[in-house]
This record gives sequence, C-alpha cells and structure tokens, in this order.
Amino acid sequence: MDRPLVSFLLPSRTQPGKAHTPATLLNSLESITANSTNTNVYEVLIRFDEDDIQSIDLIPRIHEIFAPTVAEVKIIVGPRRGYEGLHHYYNELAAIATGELLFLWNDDLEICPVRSPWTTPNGGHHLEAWDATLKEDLGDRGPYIFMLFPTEVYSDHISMLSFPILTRRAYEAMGHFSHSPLNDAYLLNVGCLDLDGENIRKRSRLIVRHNVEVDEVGVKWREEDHHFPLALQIHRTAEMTALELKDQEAIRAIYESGE
Amino acid sequence: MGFLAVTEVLASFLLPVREAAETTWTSLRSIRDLSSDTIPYEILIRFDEDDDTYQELLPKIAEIFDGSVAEVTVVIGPRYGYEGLHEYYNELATLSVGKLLVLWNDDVQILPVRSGWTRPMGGDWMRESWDLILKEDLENMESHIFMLFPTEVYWDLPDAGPGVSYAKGITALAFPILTRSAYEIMGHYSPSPLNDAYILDVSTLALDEKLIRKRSRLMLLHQPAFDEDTGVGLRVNTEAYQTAYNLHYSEEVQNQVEEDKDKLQKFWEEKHG
Repeated sequence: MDRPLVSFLLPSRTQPGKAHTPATLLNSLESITANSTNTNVYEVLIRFDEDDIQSIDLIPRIHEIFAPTVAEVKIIVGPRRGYEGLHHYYNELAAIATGELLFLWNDDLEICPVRSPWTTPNGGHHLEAWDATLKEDLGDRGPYIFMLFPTEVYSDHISMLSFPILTRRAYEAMGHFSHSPLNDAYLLNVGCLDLDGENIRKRSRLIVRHNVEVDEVGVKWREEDHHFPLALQIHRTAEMTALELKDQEAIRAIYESGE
Repeated sequence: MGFLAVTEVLASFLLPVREAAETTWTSLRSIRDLSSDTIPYEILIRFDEDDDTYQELLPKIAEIFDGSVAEVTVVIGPRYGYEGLHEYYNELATLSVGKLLVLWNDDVQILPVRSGWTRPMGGDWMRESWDLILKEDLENMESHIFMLFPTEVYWDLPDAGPGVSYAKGITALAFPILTRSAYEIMGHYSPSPLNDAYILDVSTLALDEKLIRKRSRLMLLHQPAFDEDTGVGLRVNTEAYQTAYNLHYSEEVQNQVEEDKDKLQKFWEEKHG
C-alpha cells in the first residue's frame, strides 16, 4: 500500500482566556478538510497533554470533522512536556507517522484557499486543493530537496520560515524530527546545507495563513513565563549546533549514496 | 544597449502604461530590487503618444535599471484605449525575445518572500529572487505546460463597490505568463482586450488529461487602484469595459479560443506522436 501523502504533526494545548482556544484548533483542522480533494490519503496526528481537559473534550468533535474524509486521525494523550520540550511532541508524533511528508503544524495555522481559474471556457472559479498542490510539489522537487516550506502569509508579509515539511528521506536519514524545542529554527539551520551547489529546502506553493492575533498573544505569553527563555537556552548551545551539523552530514551521506 | 539572443533572455515583461507614473515606478522598482540580477530579462513598456507622463518616467526608468542585466525597450505610439488593450500586448510581444512572456500591469509588484538565513542562526536574511523562481519553473516545466500563472495576492483593498468582483485573497487568475512556444504556436498574445480571460480560456485545454497551465511560485502583489478615472477597479462600470467585454464574448474571439487550443493540441500531438 502506498504511503499517505503527508502526516500533519500537531501538538496542541489550549490556553483558557488567552489565545489558543478550542475554536482556534477546530478552525485549523476544518481548513484542512475544506480545501482537500479528499482523494489523496493523509494523516492528522494530534498530541494533547493529559492535564488539558478542554482539549481532550474535543476528541469526539475532531473525529467527527474527519469522519467523511480520507484522512487517518490519531490522537495521543500523554504527559505534559512544556514549551521547552516541544520537540519531544514532534518526535513522538513523527515516530508513528507513515506519510511521505512530515508537516510541522500548529493550531493557529490554516490552509489558505487559492482561487483558481475555470477549467472550461468561461466557467466559474474554484478553490485549489492543498493536497493536489503538495503532491505536485513533491513530484517536482529535485533530488537534492529534503525539506519543503509552505508559503506562509503572516500579517503583511510572506515568508517560508516556520512550518517545515520534512521528506521521509530526510527524517529517516536524521532519525528524528528535531532535537530542539525551536523546531523550525533547528530545521532551518539543518536546511542551510547545499548539495551539489543546490540548497536542500524549497518553498512549496501550498499557502498557509498564520493567525497573527493568536500567535502574538502566544509569543507574548511564552516570553512572559520561563518556558520560552528556557527553550531558547536549550536551542542556543554548542551541543545543538553539533547535532545540526550531524544531521546535515546524515542527509549528505544519503544524498551521496543515491538511496 | 546590446542585442540579446532569444535563448539568453528568461522573461519579457509586457507593460502598457497610461497616466500611472508613480505606480509604474514602484512596480518596476520591485522587479529590479527582487531580481538576482544574474539572468538576463527584458522590460517592454508601451506609452500612449498623448500621455506626457513618459517624459517624467523615462529618466527614472533608466535610473532604476542602470547597471542591471535588464534590457528596457520603450515604445511610444497611438492610443488604443482599454478596448484595444490586446493591441498593446501583441505589439510588445512581437518585439520580445524572452522565453517567457509576462503580462504585466503598473499596479502589480513582485512580492518579497523572506526565505531564511544563509548559515545556521546567522548570516544575512535572504529574500527570494523572482528570476531564480521563474528559471526553476521553466526548468521543471513538463511538456504539456504552455502557460504559468503567478500566485497573486490582494492586500487591504478598499471596498470596490457593487459589480466589482475583486476581493481580498490569493488567486492565480490575472497575470498569465506565456511560454515562447505557446506564443509562436498561437501566433499572437491575445486577440481579446480581456487578455487574462482569453488566455485562461485557452488554458482550459487538457493534454493527456492534464491542463496546460500551472501556478508558478512567483508571488505578486496586486493593488488595483479603485479610482474612477484610471483604475481598473471601477472599469467594469465604464463604456470601454463594456465594449471590451462584448468583443471578448463575440463569436469571432470565442472561435479564436478554440483555434488556439487546436493549434496547441496539434503541436503537442505531433511532438509526442
């Protein structure tokens, strides 16, 4: 059986009265179902903390959202690892993922619809399906591409920084998703590798909208408490840099072996 | 200004301009600033002879592209009006030598995309270069693809009013990029003043069950002016737009759509047995 196209890896924790609410999470998940062809199998792997009752209560609703789709949904409830342990959530989810692509997802992220032209002369517009776009981008990548980054619409700018999509080849070469709680920065650092003069990352045409309002409140909240400084401290160590270099070498070795 | 062979020039921007000095400057500046300046491209600009703004713009255009790899060609000629918009594009296309023919407007800018850093947690912030993206699109282009559509972002638009279909969002509709082979096979850029709609109609052709168009990773910012006199936003309410609309939906133009599709299909079938 073919692998699912992509595994969405989504650790989520609600912050009552702050920003990351159940509604934020459900909007995010609904954007995935709303803009899919529903023909390419994909996985949604979600991780809740066992003390986060508000999120756990959403489980039936989440299954309901994906019931009519081709998606496989797995929800894990486990111990809280905190922001400084964010990479543990992603590694845990990646270990059970079977997709060809492993997509770092956040609950304040939504697939952004792209209006496409008509398919018969003078016909109507339709919305592009993210899975068709991602599948095409996966097929179009050169042999040196090990990670894709979606086109991220954030406030008034566009970037390709925060939501890495690892290829299975990269994940298996590295043996993990990330060693750092700043998962995006870690993978961007690994992604600085060039092979045969070509960078190993590429921007995908898949467009995601990062909810600024939620993100800014979340960032502010994290900065105010001790979790974010701790994560930053973990990330900015010589040991972490060594691990990034080791991952780059693992990717280089796979590339040079031609596997 | 040197002569550039067809094979050397990546893209030809086709830009008819009228009374839009400021937006044209901003638009051209974005092309210059967000290019890697390593791959030759050309900009073909068409002014109406009764529009004095070219006198103001020409020195500025020269300044923008001074020292760059771009070739700029300026044509000044008779006014065709909105209902003759295709005449401008066809005129510029005949002068072009690029591998890709980009329909351009003065109210469009290349949108910068922040793409990370050059070395782990350091170095310079990088921004994507449109020419490298288009080059890659061209290199990865499958044989059934004859046209690209950039990813177009509408940002913070004012209320356009009734009857205007512009809406904030992301689309792939309005700025077709024809490959040179498509242009040569069709023998023109467009016979309809609604150039984008015409090429979209042609792009409904499927070869081997695959559409001949593809969305490019190139990102554009479209900020149409909602100005009664010059902006496209309210043009739908004008007589010129009605004339253009009627011409587009005339039997002659709609037949031409089918003829162009047939030509592209025949070319592809001959090439692929």
